[in-house]
This record gives sequence, C-alpha cells and structure tokens, in this order.
Amino acid sequence: MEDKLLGFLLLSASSTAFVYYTLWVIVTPFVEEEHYLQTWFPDRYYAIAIPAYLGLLLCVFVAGFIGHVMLKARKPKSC
Amino acid sequence: MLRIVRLLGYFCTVTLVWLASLQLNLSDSLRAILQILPLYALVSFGLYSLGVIGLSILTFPTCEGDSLKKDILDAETDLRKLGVMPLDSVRKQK
Repeated sequence: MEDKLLGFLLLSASSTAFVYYTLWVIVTPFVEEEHYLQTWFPDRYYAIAIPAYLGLLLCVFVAGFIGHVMLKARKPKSC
Repeated sequence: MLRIVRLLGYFCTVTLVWLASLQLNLSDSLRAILQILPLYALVSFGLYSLGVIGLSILTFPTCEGDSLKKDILDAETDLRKLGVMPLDSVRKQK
C-alpha cells in the first residue's frame, strides 16, 4: 500500500514540476511585466540556475558514491 | 544501419535546426525561449522519466489474496513427488 502511495506522490510531483517549469520557461516571456502571473515565478535566471545546480549536486553524489564504494572494496594488505 | 548511428543522426539534425533558428531575427522573448530550449528539453526528459517510474510503481500488478502462496505450495508438493526437492525441506515462513 505504501508503494502505491510513493508511486502516486512521485507521479504527481513530477507532473506539477513539469507544468510549473513549462509555464516558467515558455509562458512568462510573453507575459508583460507587472502582470499578476509574474508574482508566481521568480526571475528567469533561476530557471537555469536551479536545474544546473541540481545537476551538479547529482554528479557530486554519484562521484562520491563511487569513491565510497571503491574505498570500501579495498583489500587489507596481507603480511 | 546501427541504432546509435540513427540516433546520432536525429540528434545532429535537431541540433542543426536549433542553431539555424538562432540565426533568424526574432523577437526578444522568442530568442530567450529558443536559447533555453536544450536545458528545457533535458529537464523535461528527467521529469518525464521520474513520472514513468512513479506510474509503473503505482500500477505494479499484484496477485490478489493467497493464490500465489497456494501456487507455491502446490509446486513444492509436486516437486517433492517427482524427487527434485528433498522431502525434509521446510519453507521458512516470512
């Protein structure tokens, strides 16, 4: 039962993120400033900065995980 | 033709179309969208993959009731009769 909840949360979170990001990137340039809709979205600088930063975090975690596994797999020097 | 060659062909075509469209004289907002399109495509692909994973978890097929357990026990008795499984092996109850 918890698995289905997890799947549903993942699906709805990614759908929401996709709609929000699409609106942010594609719709806001056509909406003139001072419109009410602009208050929902931060500056478009962050539309690039946040995915880039998250991608960098992902690479850091992958590299760190690989390093951790390699450290763990060292065999002790046999005398 | 190898699949990778075909994939690279599609990728290069799309890249060329994108680069060519950047040479046109377009309005500021259209240019802004065009410039961010590759990153947008990458983010959308990542979110789409997550969504497909979530959907698969949500609609994972499961057996109702104890039909699966019954099938396992029936198979075990059959195998014991045939002599494939030792008679004294007991299934550990999870």
